[in-house]
Amino acid sequence: MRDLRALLNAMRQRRSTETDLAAGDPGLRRLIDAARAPGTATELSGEKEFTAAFTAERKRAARAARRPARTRAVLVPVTAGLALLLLSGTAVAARTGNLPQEAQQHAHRLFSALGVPAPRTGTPSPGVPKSPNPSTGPAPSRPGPAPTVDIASFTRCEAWRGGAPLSSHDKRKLVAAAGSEPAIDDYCRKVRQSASPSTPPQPSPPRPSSSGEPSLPPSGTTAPPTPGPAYSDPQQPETGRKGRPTVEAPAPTRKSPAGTKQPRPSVAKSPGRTTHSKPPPSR
Amino acid sequence: MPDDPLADALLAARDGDRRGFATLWRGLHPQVLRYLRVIAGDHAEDAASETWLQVIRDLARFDGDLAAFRGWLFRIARNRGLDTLRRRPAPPVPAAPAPADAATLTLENDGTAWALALIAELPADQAEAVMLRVVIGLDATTTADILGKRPGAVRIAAMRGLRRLAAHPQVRDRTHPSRQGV
Repeated sequence: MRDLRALLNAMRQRRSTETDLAAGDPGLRRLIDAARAPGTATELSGEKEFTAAFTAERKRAARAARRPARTRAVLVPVTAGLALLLLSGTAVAARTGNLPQEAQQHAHRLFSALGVPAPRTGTPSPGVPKSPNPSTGPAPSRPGPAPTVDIASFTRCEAWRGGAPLSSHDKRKLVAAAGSEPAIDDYCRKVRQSASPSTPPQPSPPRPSSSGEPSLPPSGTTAPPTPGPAYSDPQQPETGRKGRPTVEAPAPTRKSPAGTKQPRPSVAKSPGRTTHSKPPPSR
Repeated sequence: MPDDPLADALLAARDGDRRGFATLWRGLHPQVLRYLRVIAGDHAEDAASETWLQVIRDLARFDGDLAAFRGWLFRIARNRGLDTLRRRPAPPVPAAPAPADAATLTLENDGTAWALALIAELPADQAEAVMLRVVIGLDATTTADILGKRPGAVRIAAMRGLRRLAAHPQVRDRTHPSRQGV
């Protein structure tokens, strides 16, 4: 018991030795108290400076924290602008048919209603370089705004006759001009007649021979420019129809399935050339 | 007793409150300065400034209570104090004139400066242990942490320092003059 108390005493003493020692000796206590004395005015004279430094640091930190947001505020419009530029550029290229073939096909499938043409694969005219550059390519092949109404409707008629895919926009125009879809053939014949007088003697618009035969789809690469009568056999419209399943669709205004789109034959090009100063391709 | 206002001040200062920081600074700067006076002598003011500037810079990221903050503060103070000493070594004189200074300080009745001068005469490890452990009142673990020693070693250093101080003639003498003077 005594041993235990002694041990506890020793432990207690050991734990508090420093402070006990400081408190036990009067001189030492005085010294420690003096060292612990409250701050003097001299010691505390720098309060304003350090508080100001504290405030400045917090302001700086707040500015630094805001910086990412500011960067974002600049980046977003810039990125949006670039994206817009890119998109509009692509749109223009698609509208003018200047995209790479596959991309053009894609754009055509998606945006044919906006007048995006199909890719001009295999332009059969050897005189015209197969360049995507619009300055060298014959402009009238595009279904965009045509110089005159006649040319436009003529082009559409040629495409219609040739079994080429018509954009729904073109088809709607055609139906509107003819009055109804069955009347398109008659209408086109008239258009062709009115156009032929102004056509100088030249290889007539090449169109697929015996056009519309199922065995011979009007792919531009295989359509030989057969010189012949401007328009001929009355059976042509019917045969032409055979090849086009969408024509018989009950709803005339229904959009033709995009998947049936095929490269436009160069048929539609020829009439347009007559109105341009470009010489017809030598043939 | 003064710890509660300081704890509140610490929270406020960490949140950016200017007055909270001012309270914290008023409560702790004297201790920092005195500790630095013991270990860095004449460079104490510079080292204290650098200490507080670092605290100001990093306080927003500090996460801990007041005890942890004190430990952090004096660790910074020690590093800055030793840095200043390394950059501009203290003139070797202070050890000699310190007793003289202490004597004049006694006459001037500036007890604090006198006490610090006496503590500064101790071997460095004892002086630091006495300052952090006894004068400033950090716990043994925190003090040992700051000094990079084991708590036992810190305790021994503090004990030796105190005994040495107690044996100092000025401390023994002081019991009489101070009784008369105050």
